[in-house]
Amino acid sequence: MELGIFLLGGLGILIILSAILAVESKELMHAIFFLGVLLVVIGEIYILLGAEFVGVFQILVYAGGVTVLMLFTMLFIPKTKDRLEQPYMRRYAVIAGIILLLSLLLSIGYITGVTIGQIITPQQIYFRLRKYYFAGIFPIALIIFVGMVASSYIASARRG
Amino acid sequence: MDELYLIVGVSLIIFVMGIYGLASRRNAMKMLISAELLINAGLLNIIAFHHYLYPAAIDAQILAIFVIAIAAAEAAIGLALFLALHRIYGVPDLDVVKKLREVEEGG
Repeated sequence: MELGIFLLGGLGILIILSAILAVESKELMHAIFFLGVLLVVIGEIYILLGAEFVGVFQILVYAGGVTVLMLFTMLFIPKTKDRLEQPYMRRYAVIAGIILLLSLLLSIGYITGVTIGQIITPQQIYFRLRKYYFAGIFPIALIIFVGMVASSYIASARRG
Repeated sequence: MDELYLIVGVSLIIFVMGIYGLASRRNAMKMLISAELLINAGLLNIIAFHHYLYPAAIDAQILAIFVIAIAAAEAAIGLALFLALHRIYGVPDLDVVKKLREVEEGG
């Protein structure tokens, strides 16, 4: 439990710093990078709290999907590509990746034994989802589909 | 229970940063990042209260999964708007876009 609150405190400080830097950074690339760090750390907190499936979902969909989509969008903006290819950014990115991977490993209860309380498995979530929320999946899927079509339409808009 | 207060405090700070970013920034990408901060603050609260106060209620995790899925769709639309603004007006700044539209409508 001691290690648990220590880990939560460290991750909390990392989250607060990332949030401040994500909002305050002058460079959009840096802001997106700090948003990615924040999303991964929040996923680690979910894993630490026993919500492992939600944590993995957060890291895959949010930190992996949305952040990379933002970075990809930035590539369409002029002058961004040159900044991406500067070598010093690569070094910082590798260091940040190693730190995040280590803290992610520390958050997993099977390794440190600090997961507090009950762990809810993906099977439990699946059975609950199938039993009570099956009808809710279709509107969510429809919203995502409409969002996909709308975003491709908006992105191809021309002046006038 | 101290851990719950810690997590709620952290999520409150993220929420405040999100509100501050939405209120003070005019860049479309910065506003989208601030909106993501707001969503994540709410999700962190949901999971923390579920874990410490209602550990048997799995519904909170299902709600979190739904919210993450919808937030991903919202981010895709926001990024498409950002690209469209940049292509049509040359800048993703909402104030500049508003002024340009006023000039176009006036002229």
